[in-house]
Amino acid sequence: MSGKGLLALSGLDTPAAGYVDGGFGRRGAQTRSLSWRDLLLGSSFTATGSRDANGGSLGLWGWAAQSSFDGREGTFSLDGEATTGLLGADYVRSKWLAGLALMHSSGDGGYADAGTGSVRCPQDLDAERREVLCGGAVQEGDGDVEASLTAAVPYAAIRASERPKLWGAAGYGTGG
Amino acid sequence: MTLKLEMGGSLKSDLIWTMAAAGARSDLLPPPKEGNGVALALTTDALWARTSSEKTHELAASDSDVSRLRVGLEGSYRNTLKGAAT
Repeated sequence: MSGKGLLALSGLDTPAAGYVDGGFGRRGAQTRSLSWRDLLLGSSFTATGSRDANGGSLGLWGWAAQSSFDGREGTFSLDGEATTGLLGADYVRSKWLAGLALMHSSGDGGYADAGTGSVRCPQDLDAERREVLCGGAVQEGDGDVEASLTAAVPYAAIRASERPKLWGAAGYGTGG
Repeated sequence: MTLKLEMGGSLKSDLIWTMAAAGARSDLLPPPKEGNGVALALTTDALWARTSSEKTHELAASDSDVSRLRVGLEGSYRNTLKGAAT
């Protein structure tokens, strides 16, 4: 990356940054410290290098965000929050752009099943699955759920002519 | 993915995520190279993603697919201020 590269930071105005309820300390200062997590969420950056000898340039970008989810299927409900960070690098030359992004996402939440009492165990299960699925461990009560995912997403774009621009991406990731 | 049961204990399963997406953007009305003017662009993208959890002793395997198709118009107006430097 050239020293002449452009670095732009934005999105640092997170509402968690020292907000005082009631306005300007009228009810006394209510503040809390700003963590690295607060600072990163909603932030993004882009750094673009100057052109190399081949006429291309390298770019580096990233962002972090937090979102919430809420779903229901019958008597089962699930909600929670997920935090995602993306870091990508790409190279652009002439009509082409190609890059690779790395993504890490983690989320947690809770689930509840209000209708577990009326669930009937299917009759066609083998003994092992009957014990697991119908023995009470999986069906009864509420609980928490956690998940994380790390993925790689290669992407490319081409300006086919003067006006249209086409792009594509594919991703694969694993987690637990 | 880890399920923490209210009654105690936890159930864990590995996740696999695959995704494919493609899109296009075309200027219907290109932005002016100089001065003021309106620009209009047509943008569209399609996305497909699958999340799978593997079968374990306690949990059955699962697959969930999600797909999305978007078509939109992007409009903008360029206004060059007097005395602006480039």
